[in-house]
Amino acid sequence: MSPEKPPLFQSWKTWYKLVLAVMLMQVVVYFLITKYFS
Amino acid sequence: MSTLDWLVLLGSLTFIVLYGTWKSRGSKNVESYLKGDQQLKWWMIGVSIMATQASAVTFLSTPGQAIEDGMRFVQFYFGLPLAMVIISVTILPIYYRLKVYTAYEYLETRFDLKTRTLAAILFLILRGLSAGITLFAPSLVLSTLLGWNIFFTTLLIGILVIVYTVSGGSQAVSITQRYQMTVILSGMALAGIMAFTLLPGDISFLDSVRVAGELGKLNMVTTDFQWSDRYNIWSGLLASTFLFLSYFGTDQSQVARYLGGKSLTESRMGLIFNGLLKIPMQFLILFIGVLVFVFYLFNQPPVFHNQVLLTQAKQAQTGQEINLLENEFSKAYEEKQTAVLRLVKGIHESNRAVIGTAKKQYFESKLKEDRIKKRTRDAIAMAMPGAKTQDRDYIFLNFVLHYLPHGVIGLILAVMFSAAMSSMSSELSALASTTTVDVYKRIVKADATATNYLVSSKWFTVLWALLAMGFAMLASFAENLIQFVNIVGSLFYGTILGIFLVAFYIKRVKSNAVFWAAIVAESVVLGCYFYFYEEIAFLYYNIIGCGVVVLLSAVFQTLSRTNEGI
Repeated sequence: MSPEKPPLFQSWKTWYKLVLAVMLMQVVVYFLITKYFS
Repeated sequence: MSTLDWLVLLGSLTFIVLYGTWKSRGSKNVESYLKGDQQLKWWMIGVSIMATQASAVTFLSTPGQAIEDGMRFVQFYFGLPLAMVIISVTILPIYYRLKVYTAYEYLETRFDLKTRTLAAILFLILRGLSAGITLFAPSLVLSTLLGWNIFFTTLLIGILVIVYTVSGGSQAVSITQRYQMTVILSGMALAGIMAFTLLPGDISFLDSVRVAGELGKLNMVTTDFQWSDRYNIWSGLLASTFLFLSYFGTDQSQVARYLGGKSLTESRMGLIFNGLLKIPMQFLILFIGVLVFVFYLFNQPPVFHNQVLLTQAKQAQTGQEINLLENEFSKAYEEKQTAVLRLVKGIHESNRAVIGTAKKQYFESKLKEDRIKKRTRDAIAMAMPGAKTQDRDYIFLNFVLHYLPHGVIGLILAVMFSAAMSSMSSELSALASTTTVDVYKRIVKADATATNYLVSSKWFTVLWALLAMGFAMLASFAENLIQFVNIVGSLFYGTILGIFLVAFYIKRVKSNAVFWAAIVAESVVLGCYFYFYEEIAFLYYNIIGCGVVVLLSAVFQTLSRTNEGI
């Protein structure tokens, strides 16, 4: 991994975790919407 | 089209083209022409990546996809954030370290010239065809609905793109994409708001969402697995990840976008920006389609959305039959509307029994409608042999032209043109870069001057634009445009990704092994397409192609007697 520091967070890992968490959160929310409205 | 619509359309397009040409007028050497000045900040890279991926097909076809099939298409994008992370961690630092112009240069460093050339040629075929579809989609729909000649529409978009792409290269592409994206997002947001405001006064936003949900349009996550099912959570998380890894990691039209970044950090943040925003953007476009679906529950839709073709068919021998079908369709629609009003009543009263009865009545009348639509398509096909009788791509624009106010119509048309131009310019720039760097400079003329390469790049841009325009004028076969674009991509991306994965991660595999594995893999994928099209959904071609390259290259390498090859 590059030594370049990312903006805002201390490491790139935090950014990657954020991207994956947002993706998973959307999957869960969409799943709940699908179940609730069908 | 009123004068106001023309002013909005031509004003926005002229501004973008002239501004892009003027702002990038300093691109005087081949490096800045092909890579830009590498001064792009992360948000510019993110916008550029999104604008490249979102072509006119996205905005024409996706709302229609939601109307017919619900929102489950959103699952196709679930693998994208994962792909962004993998590319940021693995592929991006390698491209930066090697200071490459194109992704395929790396393959010669790792393997040899023939593997680099193979990947470059696969890309040129894939992207050349896609550029044709990128141009064909809006040309066909706009020319049909507006009554323009398709040659005129194709020429108009093609020439506008040539003007700034040839003049300013990669830098002009990035600059214009910012304004194109502004037009696109504001236009689509306005269309969504307008679709909602056109609903009957007693239907609230929540009512419309609940009606859409009860009628199966909010099917955003489907968990049943079938190899033949194109869009479910499994194909979205697994197969799409492979597709997006290949598209963003090895397709020069995207690689060039983030290699134009000011630094590795800016490029990484651009990819992260895309990973965070892409799914919500697609969600919103699909949701606009759902709102249009609800609108057509309370307002009678036409029996066939390509009105121009319908009118032409009526003037032919089957005209009488189509008139009768329209009458039948009106009756079926009245039944359906009664069911929908009952459904709304049931929702207001939270009465599951009423909701259940209303849904049953709705689906019965929907079945009648579908049968009438099928007979109408058959009648049109009989009256006009060879005509494209799939009208899904016309639903959204037909709605815009008939129900939205003047000014907004011009803006939505500007959205379609902007999206077509933003994708096409990236594609042409990438095609020209790859042709110049990987073919012309490496194989044809290695000792030419920098000026010669710059002039050649410009001529290659024009040549690819002309070829794309030729493809666009010939193409008329796609059942659904957005799916066709993804099918073409899936035919080649798996193999290309497999070559790159072997290059990155299986160090013991040498050039001959990966080269022949790629040839076999591409044959297997094409075999799947021609012989198992119904059995295997196209997204899985990405896994198959990639998997065959990785496995066979390891096997071939093991079988080879020396490290030099099989």
